[in-house]
Amino acid sequence: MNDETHSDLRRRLAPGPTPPPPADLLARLKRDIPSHLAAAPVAAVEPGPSRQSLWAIAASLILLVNLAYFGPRFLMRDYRFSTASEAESAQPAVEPASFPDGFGGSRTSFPADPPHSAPPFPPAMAPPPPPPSIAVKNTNPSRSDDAGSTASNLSDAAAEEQQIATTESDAALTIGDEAPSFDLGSAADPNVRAQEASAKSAGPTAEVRPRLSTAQAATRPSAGDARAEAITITASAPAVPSPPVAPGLPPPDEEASPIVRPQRSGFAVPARGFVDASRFPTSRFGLSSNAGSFRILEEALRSGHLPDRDSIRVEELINHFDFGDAAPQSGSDFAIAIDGGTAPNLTRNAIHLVRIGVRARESKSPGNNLSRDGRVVAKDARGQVTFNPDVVAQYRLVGYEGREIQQAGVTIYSGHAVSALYELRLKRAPQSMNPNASVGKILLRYRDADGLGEKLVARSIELSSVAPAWRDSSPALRLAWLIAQLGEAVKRSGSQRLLPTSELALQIDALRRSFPGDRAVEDLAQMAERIAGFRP
Amino acid sequence: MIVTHGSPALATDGFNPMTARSFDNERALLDAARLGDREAAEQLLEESYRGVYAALFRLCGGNADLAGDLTQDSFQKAWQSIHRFDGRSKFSTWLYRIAYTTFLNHVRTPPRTVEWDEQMNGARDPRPAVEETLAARQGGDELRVAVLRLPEDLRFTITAHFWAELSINEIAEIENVTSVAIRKRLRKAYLLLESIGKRDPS
Repeated sequence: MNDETHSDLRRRLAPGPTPPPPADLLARLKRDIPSHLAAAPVAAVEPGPSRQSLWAIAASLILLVNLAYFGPRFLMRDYRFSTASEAESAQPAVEPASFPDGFGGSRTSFPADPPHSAPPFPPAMAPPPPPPSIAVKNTNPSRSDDAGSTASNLSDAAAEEQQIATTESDAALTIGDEAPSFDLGSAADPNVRAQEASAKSAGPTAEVRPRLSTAQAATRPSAGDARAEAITITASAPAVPSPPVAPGLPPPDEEASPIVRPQRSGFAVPARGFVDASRFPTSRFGLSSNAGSFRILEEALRSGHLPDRDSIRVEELINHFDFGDAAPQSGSDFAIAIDGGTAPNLTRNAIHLVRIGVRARESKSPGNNLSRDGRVVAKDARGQVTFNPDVVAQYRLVGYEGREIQQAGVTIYSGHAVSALYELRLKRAPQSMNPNASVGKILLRYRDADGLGEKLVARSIELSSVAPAWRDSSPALRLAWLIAQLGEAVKRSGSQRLLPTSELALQIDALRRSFPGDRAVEDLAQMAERIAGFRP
Repeated sequence: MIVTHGSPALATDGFNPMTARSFDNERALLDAARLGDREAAEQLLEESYRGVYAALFRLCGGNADLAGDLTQDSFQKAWQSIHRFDGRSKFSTWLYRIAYTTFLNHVRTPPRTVEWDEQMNGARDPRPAVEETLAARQGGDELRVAVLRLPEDLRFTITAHFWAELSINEIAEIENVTSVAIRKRLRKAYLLLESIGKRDPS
């Protein structure tokens, strides 16, 4: 073998300059791009949406007929009761709830947070009437009769929504949203628990047949109960205006009440879980993390079946992964990473994403975080985001289904990292808004390891950080959202199934290149393929 | 990409479309395109069509019109099959595979057309004598004819490496063999080409 000869041959094989392609070639090629590139896989996104919609329509019709028949009877029977309760309750429920600080009265106003005086009721509902007195007096809402009344109001609200021929999903969304829990801090804990107990009992019992009159339902929104409770609770507290916190209680299980909101594309999109930012601008997110769910899922898949859906928590799946957020700079206890983008979506209603990564500083002495040597970085730590209702229409904290986020705050050890993933529906397309507009503000409140003094870490989420398209989003964000989608596919929960699991598996597989050597991502890619087999 | 052999420059001001994009970005575009994002599809197209055209131009021995038509055919096939692209190789490598098969299909007589995706799946076309057809139908310089007369695996390797400017690793990926095997193929092809040149000094 003669290298000389070979190199000569190679020179001759190397082609000379190629003229540029014909001028019209690109236009011809573009014309040839099919208009529905994604038609095949997307058809499989929601195999049975039409059937679900049909059920929803059938249920609505039955309800309507029932209402027309029984409505007048209820109206006559309960008229006296409803007027009595209206007379008793004269408090307007417009002012935003205030919350006392949880740290012995040392209050902090929310930095640079504009006062929110958003209307407490969605425009779709009747104007806010005075809340029923039952709720105002409700200092012990665990009493079953009170909870029952609330439930009745809720179901009446639902019935009313039906009557005015809105979609069933609207009514259900209302129920789901009517369980606000306010960030009252540890000082108000018993009340908070009590309030949430009532809110919780309202959920399951909402199926109770309407007992009160539709007339009463028409004059009061169900939110009045919860709102009035909040006022009662906070009346004695120092009044620091603060936006109401979003429902700490996630909506009840989706399958228990299959509610769908048909969209333009024809997909059935369960509407649970999204919260109106104008009503509840502030959302708490969890700071503790546990990776148990990932192992449970892995074990189950290895033995050839899907795990019990209740054993899997989406937030735990997300927090199994290291998203590579930077550690805090020296001198800081926490670093907050913001990572945003857009979910892949074929509908016009873009879902924007933001992952909030909180990482505690590393301990100087390496050791097990949970052992006695593990250094406590913060006590009583709590995280929250206050969304700007001018920019964000609705948001959803991914995960935390059927689970309350700890009121009292958690202790955080060195090196601890946790992520909260939000899905956002913006009011307008990001291109039509100022890129520097604030989507929201993140606030981390905690006390030192010695338990003295409150500290705050705040960070603003700018619109430009949630604007990137899916393909321009960071691998970490894409990974987080794909995990969430996969987890929700396993649980059959969540808000929207935007991609079929087979596509999720493909995308996760492609992401492996961005996380070389990351065992968890490798495992996930395999798991995703198996899940796609179970839940296409 | 070819680093060892001095990559031949395209006339498009040194822009080598095959290397223009990092893998991740290409992959992201591809994912978006597969999800129906037309903009992403157009971007992919803009970034890859010059490379496909250049490769076909060389395969066709400088016939610009034919190269343009075959580029169009190739992309039509690519869009139809984009869901079958498994991401093991680069998109541009995959595209070259399609373009190459499109070219072969073109130069064959009609009854001998081959579904390109059969070849994508690694099934070698058992039908004989492509090279005779090629050599008979394609004029041009003797080295190109000699290349087109090579056995299929060597022909693909040589054209991919030199005319589509794919790296040895990229060819290995799409051929599903090791890079050592590709180097062996290249050496074997060099020897054959030299022997053809000696035997047939036209």
